Amino acid sequence: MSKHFVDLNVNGVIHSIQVKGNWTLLKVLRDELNLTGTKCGCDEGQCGACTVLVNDKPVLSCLTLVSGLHGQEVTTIEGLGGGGNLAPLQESFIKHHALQCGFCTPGMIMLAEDLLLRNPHPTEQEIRYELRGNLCRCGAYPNITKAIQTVTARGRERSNE
Amino acid sequence: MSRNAERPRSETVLEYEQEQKFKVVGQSFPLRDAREKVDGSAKYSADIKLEGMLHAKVLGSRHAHAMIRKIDVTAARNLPGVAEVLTFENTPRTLFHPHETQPVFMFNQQLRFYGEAVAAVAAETEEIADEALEAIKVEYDTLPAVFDPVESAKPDAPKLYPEGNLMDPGGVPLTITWGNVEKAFSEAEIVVKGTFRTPVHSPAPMEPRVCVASWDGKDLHAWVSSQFPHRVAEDLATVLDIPLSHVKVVSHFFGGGFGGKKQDEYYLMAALLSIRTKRPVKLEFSREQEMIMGKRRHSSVENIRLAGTKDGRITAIDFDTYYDVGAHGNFVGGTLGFLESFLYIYKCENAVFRGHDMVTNLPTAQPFRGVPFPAYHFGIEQLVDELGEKAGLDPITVRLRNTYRKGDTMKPFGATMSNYAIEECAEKAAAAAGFRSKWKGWKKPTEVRDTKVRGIGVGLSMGWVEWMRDMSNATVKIYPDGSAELFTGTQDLGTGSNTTLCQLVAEELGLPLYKVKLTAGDTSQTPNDFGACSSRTLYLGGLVSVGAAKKARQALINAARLRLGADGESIEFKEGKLLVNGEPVPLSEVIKEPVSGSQHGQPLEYAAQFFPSTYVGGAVFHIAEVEVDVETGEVKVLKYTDAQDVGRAINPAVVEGQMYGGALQGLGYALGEGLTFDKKTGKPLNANFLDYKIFNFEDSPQVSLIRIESHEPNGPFGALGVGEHSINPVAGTVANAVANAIGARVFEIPITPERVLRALGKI
Repeated sequence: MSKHFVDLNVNGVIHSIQVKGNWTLLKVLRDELNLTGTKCGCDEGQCGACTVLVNDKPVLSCLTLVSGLHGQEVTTIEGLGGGGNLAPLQESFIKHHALQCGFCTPGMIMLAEDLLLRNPHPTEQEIRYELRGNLCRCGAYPNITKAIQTVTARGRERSNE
Repeated sequence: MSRNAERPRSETVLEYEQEQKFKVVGQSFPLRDAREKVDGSAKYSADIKLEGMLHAKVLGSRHAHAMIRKIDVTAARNLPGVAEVLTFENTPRTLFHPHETQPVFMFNQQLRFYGEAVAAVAAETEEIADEALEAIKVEYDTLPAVFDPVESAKPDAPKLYPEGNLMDPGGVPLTITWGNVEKAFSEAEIVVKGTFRTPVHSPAPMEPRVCVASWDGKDLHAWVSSQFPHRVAEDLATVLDIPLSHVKVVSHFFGGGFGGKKQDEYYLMAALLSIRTKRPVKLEFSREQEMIMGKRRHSSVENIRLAGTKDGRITAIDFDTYYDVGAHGNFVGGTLGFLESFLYIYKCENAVFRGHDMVTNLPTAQPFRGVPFPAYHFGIEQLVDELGEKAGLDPITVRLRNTYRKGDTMKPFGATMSNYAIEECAEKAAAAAGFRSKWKGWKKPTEVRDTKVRGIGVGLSMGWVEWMRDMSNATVKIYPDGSAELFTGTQDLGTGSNTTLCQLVAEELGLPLYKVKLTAGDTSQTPNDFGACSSRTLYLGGLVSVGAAKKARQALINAARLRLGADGESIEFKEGKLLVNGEPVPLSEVIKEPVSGSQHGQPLEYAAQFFPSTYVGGAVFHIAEVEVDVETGEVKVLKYTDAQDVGRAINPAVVEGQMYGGALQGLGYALGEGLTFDKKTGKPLNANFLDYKIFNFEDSPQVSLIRIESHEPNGPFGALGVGEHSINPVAGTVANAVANAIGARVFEIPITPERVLRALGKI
């Protein structure tokens, strides 16, 4: 299969990567860029563990061909915080025990990040609806909801100041 | 609420340092590995990337039962980029002995399920490995197959093994009997019976099985996603004939197991490929392979009869069951001898339990959270309800009348219940669920709205954490600056044990949590441990961790006596400080090297057994409220209440995560999950997350979690194990709620709309 180059802005760093036509974004992130925070739970778009943001929109990186992403911005779990600090959502996941084995966690956080970008004050129902495609077998759902809502509440406090 | 009059209310035991204020125990500290999990830096086994690493893939059988007549790998080997191909013809004929299945070879010539490993390939890329799999030419002699445990037991059934299809010791069904069952049934005032069916239940962890193996000519280093890292190291050493001292198994992060990920063939393949190619090798299962080759809970057909008195006391239980243990299973009556434990919940003077471990041409079964109990409770809880109805008792009263109490002796193995706060669990669950006001009587829905009827149901269970297998060991070191390190051989499956075990050590030594370092997940650095299963990690792993901390402190005090010549003086180690007659002495004056203490759990026989002395009963009481649409047959869980005696919550958030996770997996088992196979070919039909539906965010109902803390006198700081049995009563509880709503029983899970409509006589 022929190879060609794709320029990707991943977490603020531009990578020029030689890719094959059938390579997925997940493969490139994990195997080429060693960004292994993005997980592969099914490789067929059914579990959400591989969720990342492309131009601030969530995608299932296992179903996204990288050759179509030339010049796009990709944000992974490694790029969510800044300068060694955690993003508020990540802090909130820790504080509220919104994880057990942690394998679904990066995908959950990226999807929740998108939700908060679009809707800073989601209700519990909205969270359950928006995150329904991301599976957690350990059963951290209620704590994930709490973690997202607490960040929301903090946002609200700030906007009220 | 009505109670069992002649029984005293179970008291909460506060023997363990009564009302003592703990500093570290009892607090919901964040998981100590949470930061790595949320920032993406946690290295799970699949995240390990080594220089020159090859990619391995496994070819699965395309027949449910076949003998390989001929296998030709020449074309595969000749493909550019293929480094090695393994088959049964070029791999060790050393039996591999998992604890929970029959002994098997790495590759078998006789293939007993669709998807069983035929060959493994290591290649430069995954794509080349896939091409190589396609280039392998296999000629099969197909054999007749059997997919149902009852069919498998028939004399004319296709035989999977020369000795037959029954995998219980001695080739006879494991049977446990006491009293006079036939007499009890002939004299019974009430008899209830039923045949209950349960499906193949997949643990379906989010992380598929994976191994990265690296052989340098002398040492084998393997990153494996396993609950049993020390058993994995032994397997690698035994089958590949490498000294155990040269095998290192690492599993620092682990993406869920639930009983599913223990001992498997795939890591043997990855390691052998690495040995043969002298290159690191990564072997990762696809989602489909994870659900097929990754083992699963048995399906079952249970024939149960209860005899009782007219006041609702069980006088006899007759339990006869057929388990489909798949291609290489045998655990219920076989390696684990589980049947004895079935008498654990409802007492009676007469009983017969007969279990048939039937092999079938389906993927191998092994224990998954709750092992046989979720299926057992699906049947028995429904019959206890029937007994209650006939005796005119409500569902809570009939259960409390028939279950054990603290101090009772459990027949026939004579164990005494050290603890069992079942009444408190029942009472608090009933209050939280509003059971008393909602319950309208048997077969009377709690509410009717057009086609939607609501019902409420209950179920109970008990933990069996002192059902100890083999050993647990721990070592604690105290450093010259007063900080400590815990070495544990057990594995954190996402159960938070890496945090809670350190909390126990910190509490014991009077240290803040951050001063206790953890070393775990690496067999070359940690003491041997049987493995993480059976809710034994916090209980047994915790007991030996606390014991090791005590011994390390004693070693420190002994060193101080020697060094300071402080004979007869009071020497203490408190809050990280050494006190001689109350005066602090710098630790570094006493020790230059860390001092350590080790605690060893009692090694037991290979097969599981109950302790004859005590049985630790972690009581569980669940209540489900459901809504059933009698037009469509759909069942929705409106509210689920889960009360559980956790002994003492070392970390309440961790405990609640286990309770919730157990309830949720149980709800999936009750209402939706079940691996299905083509009835003719045995081909898996739904081995993916789209067709095998685990509960997602929207499916998950509101769950009220009620922690009862009875302070188990034998547990570390009063704790009990929690995770295993939290799933047990769920399917039975939901089935009882459905029966209450629609006035008819569903005898098979998952309770699908079709089964509900059949129960209603609509189809």
